Amino acid sequence: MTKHPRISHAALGAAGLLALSVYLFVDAPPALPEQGLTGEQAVPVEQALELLSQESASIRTLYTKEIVGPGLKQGLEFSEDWREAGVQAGPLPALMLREISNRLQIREPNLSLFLGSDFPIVGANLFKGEQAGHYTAVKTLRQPRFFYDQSQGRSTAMFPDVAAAQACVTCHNEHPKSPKKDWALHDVMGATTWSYRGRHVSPGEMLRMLQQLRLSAYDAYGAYLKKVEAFDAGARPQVGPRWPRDGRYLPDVETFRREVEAQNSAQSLTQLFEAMARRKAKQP
Amino acid sequence: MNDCDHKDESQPHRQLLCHCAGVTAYEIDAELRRDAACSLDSLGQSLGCGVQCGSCVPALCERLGLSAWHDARVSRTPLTAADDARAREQLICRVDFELPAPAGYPAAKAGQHVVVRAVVGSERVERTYTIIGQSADRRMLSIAVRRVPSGGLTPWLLDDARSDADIVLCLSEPAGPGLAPKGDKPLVLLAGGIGVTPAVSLLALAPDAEVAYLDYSARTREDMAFVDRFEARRAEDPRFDYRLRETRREGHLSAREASRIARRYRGASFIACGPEGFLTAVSGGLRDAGVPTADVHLERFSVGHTARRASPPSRIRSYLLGVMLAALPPLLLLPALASQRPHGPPNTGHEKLECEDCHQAAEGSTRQQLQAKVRHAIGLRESAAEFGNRSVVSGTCTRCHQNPDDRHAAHRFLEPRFEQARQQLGAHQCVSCHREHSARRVTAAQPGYCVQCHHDLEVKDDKASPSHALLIQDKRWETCLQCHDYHGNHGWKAPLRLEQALALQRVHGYLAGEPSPFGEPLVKSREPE
Repeated sequence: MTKHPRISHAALGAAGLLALSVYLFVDAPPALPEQGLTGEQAVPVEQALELLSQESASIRTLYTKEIVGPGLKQGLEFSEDWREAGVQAGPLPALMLREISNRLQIREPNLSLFLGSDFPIVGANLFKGEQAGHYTAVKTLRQPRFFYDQSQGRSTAMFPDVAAAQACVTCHNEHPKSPKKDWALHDVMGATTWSYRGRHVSPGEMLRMLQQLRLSAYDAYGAYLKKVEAFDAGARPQVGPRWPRDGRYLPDVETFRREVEAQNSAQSLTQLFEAMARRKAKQP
Repeated sequence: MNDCDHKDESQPHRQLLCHCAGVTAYEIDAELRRDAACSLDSLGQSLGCGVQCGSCVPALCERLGLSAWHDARVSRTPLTAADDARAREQLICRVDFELPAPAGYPAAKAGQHVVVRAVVGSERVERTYTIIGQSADRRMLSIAVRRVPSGGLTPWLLDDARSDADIVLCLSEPAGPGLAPKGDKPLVLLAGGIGVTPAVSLLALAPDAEVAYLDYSARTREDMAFVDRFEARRAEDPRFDYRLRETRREGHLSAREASRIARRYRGASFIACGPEGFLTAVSGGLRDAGVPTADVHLERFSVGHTARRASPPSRIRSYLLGVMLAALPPLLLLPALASQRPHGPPNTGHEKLECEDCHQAAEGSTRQQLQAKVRHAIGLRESAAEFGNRSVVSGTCTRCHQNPDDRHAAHRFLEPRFEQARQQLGAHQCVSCHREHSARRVTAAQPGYCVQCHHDLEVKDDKASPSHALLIQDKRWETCLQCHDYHGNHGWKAPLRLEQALALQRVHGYLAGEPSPFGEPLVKSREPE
């Protein structure tokens, strides 16, 4: 009879453990990259949110100064009820930012943008709790505030929302629902709050978020133009390559887009380079 | 024929008669129909029955209409002490059968078996025992039995309250191949408990066989029988040696010990009899020592199965069945079997979606994902990794359900001020209200959840009737959805009067999946890419 070698259970177990260890720990194939990235390619999300905040503020300023302001002079109307049927008006700057925010959060689910104030016209936008505490610091120091919201697991940045145009101040002071009637130019009227699910982003992600923000802005502006199409002939401005400063005109989306890029690209690119430079400076 | 000889008509037709060869009564009857003149020998040649342990020979004889049984008188002699309950349970008795008519009763060979049949209560019981002795005139036949408390025969047979004369039983003729030595090889006998009977049989009925060694295990010395015979044999034959192994003190005969014995008696044939664990250790030890299988005979207490038709043991069958069952769920991952996956019915409007439309594959290969998860678990990786499929989050839903004018978009509830709504309702997650695979449109239990955020609602210039303030005061939160389209996806204008609002039943029906009472959707969902 041939002697059959008996393999003990311990030897089988050791072999299995060895095989499992090789499968789990030997680097072939390459390891999955970290989500949100750490290490060499990581950019702190605060820098990304700062970039996005500046970009959105710039777009909002463009809309305010080049469309709302001159548009009002041309007889165009802008109202908080612009969405209502029969209201022949466009969105106020804050509401345009809300439209951009809604679209951005569909494109970038990890990113969110809110507006709030300590004296909001809409009571639901009142800062409460921990956020109110952070806003006090923002308002006092007029500087952004960065913190990590443990309850939601989101990196959060609050940026002061400064009254950059007299029209903003006047509208708020004269609004029947406004709880504060003595706003002045350059007051911190509220804050835009950005948050992101993660602590780091890659430069590629930063660029993508920036792109999505711009696309959302064009989309939101396009929603306004779609509303304009439903205006009565007498109230409807002409949509094309010209701006309200030139008459009763509104730029089309393409014209709006070119202006946004011309105005923002250099600044955004500079900030992007700075963020990458700061990332490199931190490396040993 | 005696009283024991009649065909037991109660046997089911498919009952196994020969356990060694796996032969049923049906097969034997079929053979009889084919050849009415068949004999015990021809059955053995054609079906393989009755030629191994011999326990079925009486039943085969009955089937052939032959005399199978011999009446016998019994006398019992205890061979071990029964001083306490445990000893009584381990009692070994010699049972001598006296055959009133020994003429024609064959001589027994060493290691052959005899079947004892008795009526115990209302039941006929048959048991097989090794023959340990036979008188020269064949009038007396002896076996040794151990009381098995749960047994069918020995408690009755060894009952002290019953006299020898009261025991009425029948005896079969000796059967089985016996334990004839193979060639010139000396025999080594390994016995456990009552498994000593083949050794006793050999020493008694094959006195000329060269038995080199006997290793006899029992719990204590008092549980051992026939020691005097072994001592006598050793005195007569200097080639014979034996060892008594008290397992309570020395432990059981291990495989290693059996190997040592085998190496000491190289070239011998081995016969082992004992409990199953004893035989397992012995067979393993002999195998490790390189003893050829042909030189090893294992005698089991119960009738063993060496079925004529080879079939895998039940344990292997169970393993195979287990592997097949374990393999079934992964098969469901095949795209062809996607429709068979037990995922539950889709929600309203999702009937045409494929699994992959929502359950997208996670990044990387399976191995990469497993490596990442293990590294994250032990602190070598900062971020967690998804395994298999990506989590289905609100972003998955908005790939298709994109309404920038959604009045209650999930992302709106990410604002810190909606913390209570997040905690109470999970309002920031689509699946909190629209749990998939539920065959509904909305799965949230209570449609009155509006109270979470709107409990302090004040509507300026409220034209509703009843007013919102009154509805809130009366906690009429169920009326919200009767007037308002939650997400605002439809061209629906909220009525000013409650009696013009949708019936609550229609709203509940809509949530359950019935057509929308809010009109056609203004914002249609996109097709998945």
